[in-house]
Amino acid sequence: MVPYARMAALACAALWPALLSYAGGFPQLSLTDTTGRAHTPGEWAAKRAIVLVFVSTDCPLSNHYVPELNRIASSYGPRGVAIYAVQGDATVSDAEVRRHAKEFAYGFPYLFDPAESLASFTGATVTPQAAVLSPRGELLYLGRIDNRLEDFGKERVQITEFHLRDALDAVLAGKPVSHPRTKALGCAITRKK
Amino acid sequence: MKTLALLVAFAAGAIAATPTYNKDIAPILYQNCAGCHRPGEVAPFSLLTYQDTAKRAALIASVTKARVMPPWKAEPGYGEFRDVRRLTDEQLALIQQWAANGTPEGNAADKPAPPKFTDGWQLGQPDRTLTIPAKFAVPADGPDVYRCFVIPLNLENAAYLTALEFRADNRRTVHHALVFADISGLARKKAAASPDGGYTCFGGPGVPAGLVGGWAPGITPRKPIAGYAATLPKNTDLVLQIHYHPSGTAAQDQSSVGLFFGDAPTKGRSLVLLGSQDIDIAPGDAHFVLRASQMLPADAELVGITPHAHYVCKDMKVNAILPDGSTRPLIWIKDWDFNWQGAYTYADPVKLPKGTRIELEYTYDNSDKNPRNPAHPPVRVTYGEQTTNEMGLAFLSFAFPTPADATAFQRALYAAR
Repeated sequence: MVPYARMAALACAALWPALLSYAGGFPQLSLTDTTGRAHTPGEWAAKRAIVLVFVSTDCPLSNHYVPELNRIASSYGPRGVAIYAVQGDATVSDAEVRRHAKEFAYGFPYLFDPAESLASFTGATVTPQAAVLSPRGELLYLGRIDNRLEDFGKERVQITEFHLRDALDAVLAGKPVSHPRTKALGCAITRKK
Repeated sequence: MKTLALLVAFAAGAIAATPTYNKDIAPILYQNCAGCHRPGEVAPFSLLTYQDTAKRAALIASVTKARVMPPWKAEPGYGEFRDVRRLTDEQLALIQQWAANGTPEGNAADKPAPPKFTDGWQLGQPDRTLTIPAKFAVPADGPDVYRCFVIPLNLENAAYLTALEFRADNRRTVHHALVFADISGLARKKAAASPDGGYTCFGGPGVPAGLVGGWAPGITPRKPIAGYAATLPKNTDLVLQIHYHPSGTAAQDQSSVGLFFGDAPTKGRSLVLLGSQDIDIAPGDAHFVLRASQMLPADAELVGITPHAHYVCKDMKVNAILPDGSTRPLIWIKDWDFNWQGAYTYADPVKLPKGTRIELEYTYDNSDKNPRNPAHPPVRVTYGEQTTNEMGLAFLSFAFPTPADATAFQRALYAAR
């Protein structure tokens, strides 16, 4: 893992000056979703919170969450939360990502991110992993969606903590997120070598 | 500086023996993982190529180190089993080091030939294939689904089952399957009103039916063994209990089971159920111990063992106390997981003399600290077949020189109970 981590660190080091110089904190990028629509951080300025969920096509841990993410999208969307799925494996073909987005019926935009700029920006390392950002690009939460997966091979029959929902509730109530970082378990986000 | 550190790290790695994909990792994965991790098989992704493997190095390193993969729950040294899917400490270390070194591919000449697999039925074309009568719909989300499908065999005469192979249809949602033979007609009644020929069931089929086979990912179907067969009376219905794990997208399944028939058995088999219904676990009790034992009325050879419990069971031990007082461990599962039920076959039958006492000791954790506890907060757990109940038993499969020996053994055993 050392070289991976170091490469990521190098990539971040290279990106950070650009990020910091951006007034709003977001990287300047335009990402296309699986329906062909382009998205830029500009559309986030009017939102109360932005959720980026890193996902992959062939990770069952990630796929299990699509129905819950759709529920979160329909319950928090009307309250000013923008939610996006972000491609977490740039080695998978665009056609396969499109097919997968359709098959699993993602009810919100699923962004291609071939340069892994959003993973670099948030520090996400696995799928599924959720990041909650302020409209100014501050990272308010990074971690698991809930505590379904206690450990590899230890799945909860009944979920008892809903970290992403709790984080959004706190942000919408204008309160600090009580656990801003939780450990996400899943499939590693593929770093280009 | 960072670049320099990286170069130094690579240089240091090059001096020590650096495991490479071609030389060290591919042989481990081909042997232990590719049976399921290949296109069209039950695992979610393939591990046949360098590219597919290297990009998942971190995940592979984590799950192998935690011994979550390959799935194998029996502790080494407690029973010698066939088809063991457990990596050695050296293999684990190689994978860790390879991932840490940045997944070097190595020399193409070192790469072993990719394994050859049989597609479809692993035991060849079955004598009879039975399929669930109608496609069964599995929801995208929510709790796991346990369904018993009843398939009448409509046999004209008794038949002798020599082997059985389950073939999952929708491999993304089928988690495991158990196959029972019902001669009571009760399962058929339970399923009567259902278009898919099924009913909801969890721990067992809910009827007094005998276990004749099963499947979980990674299990190699057992070839017929000369002389052995299970006699299926002509009124037998097969009950196919399938555990479905919702996958995130709505799914349909129509799995099959292949049956292989042969001559009447010349050797004997007896399936003994060892267990206890004396289960009453207070909420919060993190260490409830269930014990059961069985004296063997005659010499017997134990060929296989299938331990069974539900979600709050955490540790399972079955030992044989021989007449001389010595202990022979039969199985120990330290971290029982209902999701990985397995039938374990001994490498060589375990010879147990008359007077051997087989002892079962299962431990349950009904506290809130047990993530697998289906109740939150915990509730009182008693014996039963539902998700919220517990069970504690082991199916013991014995072999005898003749069918008459097996019958005599069974009679003596039940007379003594």
